[in-house]
This record gives sequence, structure tokens and C-alpha cells, in this order.
Amino acid sequence: MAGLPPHEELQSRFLTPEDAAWLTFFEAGDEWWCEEVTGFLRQHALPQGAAGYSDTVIFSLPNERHVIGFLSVASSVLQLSKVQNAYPKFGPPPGVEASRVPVWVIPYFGVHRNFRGHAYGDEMHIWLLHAMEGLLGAPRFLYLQCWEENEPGIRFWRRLGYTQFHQTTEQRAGKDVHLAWLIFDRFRISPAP
Amino acid sequence: MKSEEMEKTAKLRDPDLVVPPEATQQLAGIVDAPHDPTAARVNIARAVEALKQRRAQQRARRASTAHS
Repeated sequence: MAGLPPHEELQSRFLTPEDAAWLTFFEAGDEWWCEEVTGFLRQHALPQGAAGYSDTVIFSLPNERHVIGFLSVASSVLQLSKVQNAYPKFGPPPGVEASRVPVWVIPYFGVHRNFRGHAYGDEMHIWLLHAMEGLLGAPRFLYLQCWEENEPGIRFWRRLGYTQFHQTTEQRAGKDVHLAWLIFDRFRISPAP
Repeated sequence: MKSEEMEKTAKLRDPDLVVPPEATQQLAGIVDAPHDPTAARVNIARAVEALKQRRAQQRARRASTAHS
């Protein structure tokens, strides 16, 4: 593990077409929400990246190419009123009348099913926070949507300090399923995960 | 407001982001939530410490399972 800080066990790289073959080995799990994560990486991450809609970073063990985990990020905006559901005192920037707040959205985030239980998700999230720190124009907030049926996922994001600020309901196979909208304020010291 | 300040505010105002007057009134008096400018770095440092502890617990659990 030479070259990696002590807390890091994974090496990161931006997803490129050269990685296409490796994506076919990635499996997040059997649950339907896991299949969405797997499907995104295999089918949509490269075209969306090429189109400029999102960037995907993949993580591997040192000197290997197998995808242990990945995260995608994209710039987005949220209505100020939605952000205030989580942070009631947050207002528009001084001198500007704004109804929307710039954010980065994490559309997909996953760890290979065979590598759960190693805190790789925590490490990947720390990587993202590091990448944003000091980056010109990086927004204050990160947000994402997680199916409430994905209880381990909800627990994971809450443990990292994300707060639910909205919920939407969708139909899936004739049943109501619920999306929790979660937000993270980088500029507010949150309780330790 | 001085004309200079008004001009400055107008330049900052993005027409796509302007909210209706009633919404502006609702926002009046709301200030940015207090935050520490170094909070982002503090949060990262705390997350790293939590990661180390979590991994130590996971290793201990795996070792315990292996010996049982």
C-alpha cells in the first residue's frame, strides 16, 4: 500500500472508456435498488460522462483494475425552500435574491457486493469530501436520493451526517416505493459518524 | 440604498433566480446558518478518525469469527 495515506485502502481513478471491460464484473447486489446501481455503472456511466452530465470515479485495490466501488457526481440545484427543510436558518447569499441553491448531487454510489463490510463506502465518501475541499466553486451542499426500502443505504447516509429534507413516492411493480432526499452540509460541523 | 449599492446588487441578480416579491418577504430576516469556515476540513478529519475506528472494529469482528 505504499503511496496511500494510512486510512486509505483503495486507489481512485476517473472512469474512462478503457475501463469498460471491468464494469461488467461489478455487481452491487441482488436487491432491486442494487440492480439500479449496477445498471447505471455498466450502461450509463460512460455515456453520461461523455455527454458531460456527470463524472464517475472508480475505486480499486492498489495495483488492480477490478472495480471495488464507484461514485458519480454532477452539479445541480435545489430549491432554497427544500434546503431550509433540513437547515431552516440557511438563506440566500447576501446581496442576491436566489430561490435555488447550488449543490452537487450523487446520482449513484455503490460498493461491490463481495466487498461489503470493509468501510469502503466511508472511504469513498471521504475521497469526495477531499476532492471538494479547496476546489474553486465547489458547493456547500451534497445531496442524493435513496430508496427508503434500502434500509442499509439510509442508515449509511444518516451515519455520515446526511439529513432527510424531502420525500417522493413512485410506483414500482404496482407498489408504492419511497425516495428519501438527503442533504449534507460540508460547512457545518456534524456529529462524528 | 445608495445608487452604487443598487447597481452592484442588480449585477449580482440573476433573472432566472429572482423570486416573487412575496417569497422575498418570507426570506427577509433569514440569515445564513452560522458555520465555521474550517468546518469542511474538520468534518473530513473526523470522518477519517471514524473510518479508522470502524475498520478496527471490523477487523476485530472478523478475527473473532475466524477463531470461533
